[in-house]
Amino acid sequence: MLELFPQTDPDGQPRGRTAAGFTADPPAHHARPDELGDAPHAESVLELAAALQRSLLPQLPSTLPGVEIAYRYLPSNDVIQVGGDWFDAIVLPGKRIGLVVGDVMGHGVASATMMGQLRTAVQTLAVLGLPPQELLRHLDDTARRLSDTHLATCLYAVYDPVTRRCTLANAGHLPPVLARPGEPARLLDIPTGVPIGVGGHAFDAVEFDIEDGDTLVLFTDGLVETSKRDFSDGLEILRSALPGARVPLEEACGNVLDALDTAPRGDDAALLMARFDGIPTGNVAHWSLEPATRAPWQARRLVRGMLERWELGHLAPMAELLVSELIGNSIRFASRPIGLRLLYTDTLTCEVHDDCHTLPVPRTTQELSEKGRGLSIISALSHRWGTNRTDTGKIVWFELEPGGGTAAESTPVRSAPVRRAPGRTP
Amino acid sequence: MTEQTWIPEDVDAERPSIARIYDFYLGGNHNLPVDREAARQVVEMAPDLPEIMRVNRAFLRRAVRHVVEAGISNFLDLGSGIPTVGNVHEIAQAYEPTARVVYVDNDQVAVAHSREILSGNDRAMAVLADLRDTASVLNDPEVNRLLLLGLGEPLAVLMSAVLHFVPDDDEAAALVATYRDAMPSGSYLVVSHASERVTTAKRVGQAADQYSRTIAPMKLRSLEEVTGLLEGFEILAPGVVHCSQWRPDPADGPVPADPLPTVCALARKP
Repeated sequence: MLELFPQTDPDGQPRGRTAAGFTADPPAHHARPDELGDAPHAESVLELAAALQRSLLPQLPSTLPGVEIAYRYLPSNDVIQVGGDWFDAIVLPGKRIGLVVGDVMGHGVASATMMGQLRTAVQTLAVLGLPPQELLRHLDDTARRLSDTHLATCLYAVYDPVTRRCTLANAGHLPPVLARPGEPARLLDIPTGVPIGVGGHAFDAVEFDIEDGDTLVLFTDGLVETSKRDFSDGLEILRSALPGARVPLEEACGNVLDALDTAPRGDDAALLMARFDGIPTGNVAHWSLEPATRAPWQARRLVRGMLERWELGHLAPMAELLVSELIGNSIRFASRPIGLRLLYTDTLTCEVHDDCHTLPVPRTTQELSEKGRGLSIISALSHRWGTNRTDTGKIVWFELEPGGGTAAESTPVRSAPVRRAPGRTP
Repeated sequence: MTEQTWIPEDVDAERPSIARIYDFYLGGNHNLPVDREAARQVVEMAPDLPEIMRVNRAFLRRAVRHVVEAGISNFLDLGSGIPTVGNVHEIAQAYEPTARVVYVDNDQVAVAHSREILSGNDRAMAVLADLRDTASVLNDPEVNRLLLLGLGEPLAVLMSAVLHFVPDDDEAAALVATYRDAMPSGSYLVVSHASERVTTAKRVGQAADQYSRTIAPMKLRSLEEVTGLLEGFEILAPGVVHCSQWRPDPADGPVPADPLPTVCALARKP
């Protein structure tokens, strides 16, 4: 399909995902001041809106820990109808995956801009680790501060590849379809919720078990509803186009589009498919430590033992040092047992959970002070690190690359939550 | 029926379960008509049974207390049933607030209800596993999360009134040996076991038959036979004895001259 995005622009150049998206458009679309008549101006605005929307949509990796992703965005054939559909897949703390699909009502530059703002807001809220219903509430607040004229529908799902549970909340969006090998694909029965921008209504979350191999299909109305058929017919086509057995996800995604044959589209359409395989249970280790002086020692021993089992012994000295820093900090404030969890995926993730709600902040320490260096050490020596609130307290986590590099050594640098101090890299 | 709201969907309410029968004997309310009927039939054969259970629990309390005083704070209770009355975590945590207990049972109702009882307790939990599948018990993520087996520190393994449900002597001995080999040196094993009493041997035997027929195969073992299961352990004083005779505590009442047919031991891995 030539119109599929994100792929390439008509010149064969990859479409950019940031401001570069503007310049990726053919030069003819740049209106020079002496050309600014009414018609060309209107046309350039529409081109701009289309370019803007493309540039605001993500390019997602096809694999995330425990999850495979395939997606398509199809712009409207009618350039006047540049839409506000968006989608996203976000790696959250604890290697959970946030899946988003949304649709800003209305068309044109303002809708595309609003879409970009909402997508950014969801990204920002998601990495704080907010539960889906709370994320939608904050998104609604944000949307109403940004604009009193825009409404949007949005579906937000969080998949935990360790517990194999999915939590989902909805703000007036079409429910997703769950495809389980060997069973007919089914539309999930979830609360409809009110759209983003309405305000005054609480969102409910539903939680359900995911089996390895399940595929969650998120989409916008433009995919199933066309001028030629109504929503329920489109949905039926979508469901029957989903494979009953495991096939490559890209192929499944293409099959769905072929079956739905949406052209010509008066509306834009988005399709996001996520197949869940989870993190193998052997790649997860979890311990509960008493908040006592021997906890850092216990943590070091447990971490070393597990890393040796995972043949990651080369990471053990670093992991032990950083874990004992975090545990050492936790035992000063925690009253209930401290959780220590290791996840071995594309990276080694170490999390320390405790019941103290205060998030630690890196401090500027006196040169000779013995205290207050923990987070500086973690910041300097880990690939990424961060903190998140939980219902019962907080999590402080860091990641190490199995290759052994720190963020400063590997490119591209992933979005480190806290800037590292220059010159601290060993 | 409101009483059945706690039953997980996939549980067969037509078959009696050992865990729920124990719960009935101990005065709990997590049992079904089918369990109560089986329990009544057994009690008809062996009127002493509820008292045997009580004596067994009293031994458990004294043994757990001793183990805590010996410096052990991690407990693995195999075949725990429903921890309703006089459960291990309450005993252990009364003496050592940071004591940790993992209950293991292969009865879904027992585990589901245990989880309900234990919710909010950071240091006790229930795991669904068959104690005979040693590897799955010892590799269980939750067992390891709470008991920190990876540290190789001594712990206490409890086999309270479960080994008589492993009728084959060799299998029972092999089972104990597998756990023994996995236990770090200095660990403790708490065992209690259904036995025979001379004066009521026939009736207890009949009760065992009833158990075997309706619930699970059961094998009564003598003091010597139970001693034979503890190879490789150092059996602490007073040895393998009737439960009421094990380091009696005046709080548990007078020691009867004709003890009830349940025997026990506290053993330590050297």
